[in-house]
Amino acid sequence: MRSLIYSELLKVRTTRMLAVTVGVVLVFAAALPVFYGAVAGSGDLPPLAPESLADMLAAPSWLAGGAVLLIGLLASAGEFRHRTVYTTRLAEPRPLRVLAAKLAAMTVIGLAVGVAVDIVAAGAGGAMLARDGLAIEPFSHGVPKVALVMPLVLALYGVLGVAIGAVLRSTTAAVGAALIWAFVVEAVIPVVAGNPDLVNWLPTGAVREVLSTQPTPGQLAPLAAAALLLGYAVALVAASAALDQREL
Amino acid sequence: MVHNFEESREIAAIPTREDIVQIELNGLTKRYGSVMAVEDLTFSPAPGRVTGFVGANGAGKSTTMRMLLGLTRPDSGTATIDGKVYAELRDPLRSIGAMVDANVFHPRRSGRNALRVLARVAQIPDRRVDQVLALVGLSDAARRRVGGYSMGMRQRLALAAALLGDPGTIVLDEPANGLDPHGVHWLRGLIRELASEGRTVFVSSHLLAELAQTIDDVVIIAGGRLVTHEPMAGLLACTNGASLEEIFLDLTRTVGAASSHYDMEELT
Repeated sequence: MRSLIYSELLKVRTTRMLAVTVGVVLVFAAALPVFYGAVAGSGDLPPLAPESLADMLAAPSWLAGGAVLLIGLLASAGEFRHRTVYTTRLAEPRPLRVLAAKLAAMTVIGLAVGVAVDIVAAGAGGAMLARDGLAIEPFSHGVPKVALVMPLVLALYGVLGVAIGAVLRSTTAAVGAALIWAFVVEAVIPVVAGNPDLVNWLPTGAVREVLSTQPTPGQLAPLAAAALLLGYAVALVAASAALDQREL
Repeated sequence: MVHNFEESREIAAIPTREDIVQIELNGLTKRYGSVMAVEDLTFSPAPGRVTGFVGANGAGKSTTMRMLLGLTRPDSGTATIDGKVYAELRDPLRSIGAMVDANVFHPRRSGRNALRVLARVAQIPDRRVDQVLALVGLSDAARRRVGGYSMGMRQRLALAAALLGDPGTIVLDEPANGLDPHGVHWLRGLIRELASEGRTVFVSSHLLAELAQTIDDVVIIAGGRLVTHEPMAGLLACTNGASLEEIFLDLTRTVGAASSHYDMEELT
């Protein structure tokens, strides 16, 4: 199994997709905290303070999550687009083992990107605090929680990407479905249901709650939101495992 | 006159590798909707020999090979390798090397990396990747992206992938597709070389004249059904020196899609 996971990691590493995507994410991981610090205190925005570090750390989470989701989608659905699934199946004819290896590889990539984003965002955020002569307190104000949760959430995004790609087997359909879900379905469901709080029970709402530094009325508790996210991932992985038995 | 095929097989026998596997297709059947792609196909390529798999477009050659390789599920019947279906092989790349299509590589990955990805699964070292790239004449292009390869180069890369695990048995589906005359000549030499090393080679092709120069045995199918499976030497001897192309056209015309196993006595 380990050699299969190494093979999947090598697949992702040997195209430019990973380097380009992670490069863009890291640029924004540095730029977003700087932007946060630059606009803090203007208009209705609160001024920069030591406790802002957690929010600056969480600022790139949406972009990083989307990027890791994309890598997962392409790693899985891309096999069908480029027909590499045939050589993959000849080397390992048991599709569930291939799926498991892809999930493991994307978990590793998600964790690694999360740690890299943590380091870059913390560095940029810390620099903004230092510029204003504010104390940098990395072990308080929810900073450790965000720093720890970020890689876990990105690993989950990677898992979701692989699962969606394995279900749809088309990069266009998989990317389209992810975009429609994030920007249309999640906005429409609470409206149609007449319950705005429903958004907290949907994947992006759950991610927001997991990464939030301060409890908000009406939101799920972070642990409940994390369990909900895990539930979505398990359901999608189960669906992809069941559907992976289809013929090529 | 009935030719003694077993005798000719013995005469043509060459030393075989110890790791060659026994391929057996038994009652293999596959239907796509109303189209019967393969029907009750039973044969077994002889170990240590080059067996040509011949049929018209849509005769069921690729479907048969894909069922053998576990890429397509048969409706009934079995395709086994040493008694196991492909999915049960512990180390498939080292047991059976397969080429199903040239366009099975990521266009943005280099040829070398495309093979390294496969090699990693079977824990095959990178030096073997470089060896097979040299064997198919792609050393100079190894670090170029596959997207920039010509069709012939992709065919060579697919062949390199089939040889990666140094398997005793090799299955090639239309390996000459897209090759220029130099490429076809090179392929003939490669198949002969593989056979001279004692490997079993099971190869499908449309290029019958080319195939006739390479194979020991021939399996002809039409309409998804077996027409004949005979040693080439015997087949040619029984048909007064007719070419494989003439034999193929004659057999598939007289026997057609509705035939069952061809009886050699009909032709002699």
